[in-house]
Amino acid sequence: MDIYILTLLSIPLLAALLVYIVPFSKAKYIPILALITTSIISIKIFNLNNFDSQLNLKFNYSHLITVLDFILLLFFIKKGWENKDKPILFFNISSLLLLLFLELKIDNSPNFLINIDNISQIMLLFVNIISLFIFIHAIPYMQKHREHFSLKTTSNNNFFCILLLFVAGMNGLIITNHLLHFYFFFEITTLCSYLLIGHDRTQEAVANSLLALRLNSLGGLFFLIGSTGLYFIFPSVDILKIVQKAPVNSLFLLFLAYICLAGMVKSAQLPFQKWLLGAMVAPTPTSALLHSSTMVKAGIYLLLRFSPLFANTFFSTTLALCGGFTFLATALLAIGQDNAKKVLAYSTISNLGLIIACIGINTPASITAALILTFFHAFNKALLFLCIGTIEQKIASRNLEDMRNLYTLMPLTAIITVFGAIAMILPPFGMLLGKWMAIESSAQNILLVLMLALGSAVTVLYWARWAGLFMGYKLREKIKLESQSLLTRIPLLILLLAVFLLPAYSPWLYQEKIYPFILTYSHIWKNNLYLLLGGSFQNSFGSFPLFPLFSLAILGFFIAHYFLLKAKRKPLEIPYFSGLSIDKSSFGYVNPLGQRVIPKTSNYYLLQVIENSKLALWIDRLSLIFILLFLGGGLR
Amino acid sequence: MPMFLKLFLFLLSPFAIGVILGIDRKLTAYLQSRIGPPIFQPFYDLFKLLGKESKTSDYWLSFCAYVYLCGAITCAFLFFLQADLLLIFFVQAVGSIFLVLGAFSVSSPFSQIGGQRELFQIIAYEPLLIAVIVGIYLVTGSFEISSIYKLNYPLLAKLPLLFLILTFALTIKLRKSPFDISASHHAHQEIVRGVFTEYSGSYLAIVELAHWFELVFILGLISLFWANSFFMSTILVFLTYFLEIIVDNITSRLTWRFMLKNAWSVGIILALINLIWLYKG
Repeated sequence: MDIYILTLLSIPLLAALLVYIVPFSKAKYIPILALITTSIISIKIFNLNNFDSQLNLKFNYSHLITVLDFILLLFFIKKGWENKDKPILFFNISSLLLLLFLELKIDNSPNFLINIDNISQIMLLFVNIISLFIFIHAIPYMQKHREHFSLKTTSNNNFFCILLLFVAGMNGLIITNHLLHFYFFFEITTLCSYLLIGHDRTQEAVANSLLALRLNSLGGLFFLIGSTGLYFIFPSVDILKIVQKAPVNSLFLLFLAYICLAGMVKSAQLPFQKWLLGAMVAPTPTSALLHSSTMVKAGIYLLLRFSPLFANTFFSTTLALCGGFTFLATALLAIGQDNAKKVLAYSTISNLGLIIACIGINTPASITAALILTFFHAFNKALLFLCIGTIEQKIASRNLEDMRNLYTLMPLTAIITVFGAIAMILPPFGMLLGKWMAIESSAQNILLVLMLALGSAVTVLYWARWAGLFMGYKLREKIKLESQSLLTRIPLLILLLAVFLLPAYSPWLYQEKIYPFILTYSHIWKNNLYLLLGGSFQNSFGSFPLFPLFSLAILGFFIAHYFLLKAKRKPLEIPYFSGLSIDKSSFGYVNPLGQRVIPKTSNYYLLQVIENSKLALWIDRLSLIFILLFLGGGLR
Repeated sequence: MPMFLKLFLFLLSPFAIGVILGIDRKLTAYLQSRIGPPIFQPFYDLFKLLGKESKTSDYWLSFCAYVYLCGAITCAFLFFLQADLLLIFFVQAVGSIFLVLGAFSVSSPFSQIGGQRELFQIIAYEPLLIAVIVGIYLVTGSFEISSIYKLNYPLLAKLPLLFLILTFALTIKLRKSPFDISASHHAHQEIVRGVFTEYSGSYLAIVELAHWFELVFILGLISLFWANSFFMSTILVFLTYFLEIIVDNITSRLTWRFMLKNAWSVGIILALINLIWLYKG
């Protein structure tokens, strides 16, 4: 076990060092090799069932981390100083002082530095495997990207170096059991996010990277305020011990709220969402890896870790309301977007809100929902981002309207994108399984369930519109499979397979990982656990026959596909133009003046409603109210 | 109910729907001072369309039509198995989404705008239906349909406002006037019927058949509100559907803005009130 953990942390770091030194043309495959190693190890760890989950490594690296922590904060302060950014300076100097105080105060270290439980296993698995595929996809992408932006030749070395650093940081964050180590790894992800957003050095990129640093420094400060407070009430930095033994009183919950707030900033919940939207200027592999599938899950992971502490409290309900509100509000904002990456960003925030709502409901069923959603969202979003990255480089636009009828140009990528969108909203795929669990377990909370109902409908709207956009055939044009690098195609296909086949694996995922996790806290989470009967999830509320539905979906797919092939034997007809078509083979109609008109259509973006600054303003205000409600939710 | 009886009823259901649609047309004709087609006209139409040459302006459209049919059949089947109501609702969504996707795949302005409007119809009725399902859950304590049949009083007694909302949602779902925004049923518009414009020949027949199975689910949902008596549930279904026809004939189309505004304000507020009654009651 020791050796596994050491490899998880050191291999990406070593690779990062190598990539930094060796010219990129020679170092191209080093990151991939490193990630294949970590993926194999994460699978090995995932397959372990009875093992020593809590352990210490041979040497204690706490002091090293303390030193690095200060260096990191000084680096942030330097950046704040250079850019004359007062908030960054203020947040990081306060963090520095608080950390100094805390380090002097803390006189004990946890019994175990490392704790790997079932959720860490799940997180390790998807973080490493998704990173691997995103890295593969990034090789051709970054090469083109560098040429397009005429960046320095070393820029790609830096890029992969930071990505590798991120993977190491994320692995460290998942396995650590020391509250302040968690803080350090948390800040590492902030650092990587900051550096990667500013990668292109354009004016917009620099501004947005500073915005991300500003908000995430605030998150870091929240974390430190929370942990200082917790330490005074319950003097321990052992996360596991805190979760199991800490006295839950109102003051404790107040400080815990700050820790949760840190998680919510990292997960870009309202009203802290701006940094994630700005982060979309970064090259697409960054968005795919950090800003949708893995890093933003660090916030979720933090909340999940502490969730047993606040089960059955009003505090938890307020957390759920915050999440539910974000789910609904950002889904609404997504309707108004015609920038494909922004739609994905809003959808990410929205889904993270749904997951936080599930954590807030805090019942066995909802925690299951949260884990299922986290797992499948990671794969699905990674896929969609890689698709958009591929498309964006081909058509040199991120605008959705420019992607209309994309099937003609790049049929394979277009169809993968369509299926990716469908998997976000329809049964029997993982996201819907999670949403079904979420709504069923939130039904006791009327306000929340109505927010989820509205949000879920809006989600359907923007995904259906998204899927419909890509499918058009152009008349009389021969459609050829697009040529693209294998390094682009393979990750797309594998992630597509994962999105489609992994839902069938979800019963095992539940049985072997999620169920035991919930059982460890069986004194808190007791009623209505899902049981698996013949491949269907069942509790006393309802049942989801996953296997039957899955087989029906496959059958339906093949029936429809058969008729698709049958239809393809006949040439296409021109669409209906009220009998005024130009002729039998061209698209368009003749208007009363005898002119040929090619009609153009576009989506309703409801700009007068959504873009209206008043709506955004009200959403921000309301979210502040919810956050305030949440902060004091434990006082009683 | 024994399994074979459920299966038998399920197989019978589309025929019943065909007849109901025939009566619908007859009644509509009466209200418009016409004689109207024979009651079995929906069947004649369906078979005629099935026999037509299948031509299309986008190949994906045929794919989408058949997925719609499969989704709708699954949905109706799950209903007869008395499965989880929320799940059935989500399976129902498969069909409605693929209908829209098919319309979107053709760049004809009619079907594109029809598709966009159909999406607005969907976001208008979906939250309302989920609210109704949650209301049923709060009464019975379970999402399974079977638990409704164990009640010894009609759901209607506990969920009067939610029943009202259900009828509102169904008018939108069935695209009946005044909410026939994405597709109108009136004869002069039948060729250019919004979201259905590009579905032609046998594909139109498939979509029509899928719609029949959707109707099975919808009318079934109404029947649940008086589930403890077979007789009363039949009466309730017929009465509600009769009212839908009347409303369809005496109103004219409203804009999608009106629909969305009212579904999301009046609809949700009424739902909230009814849910609070149950929560505190």
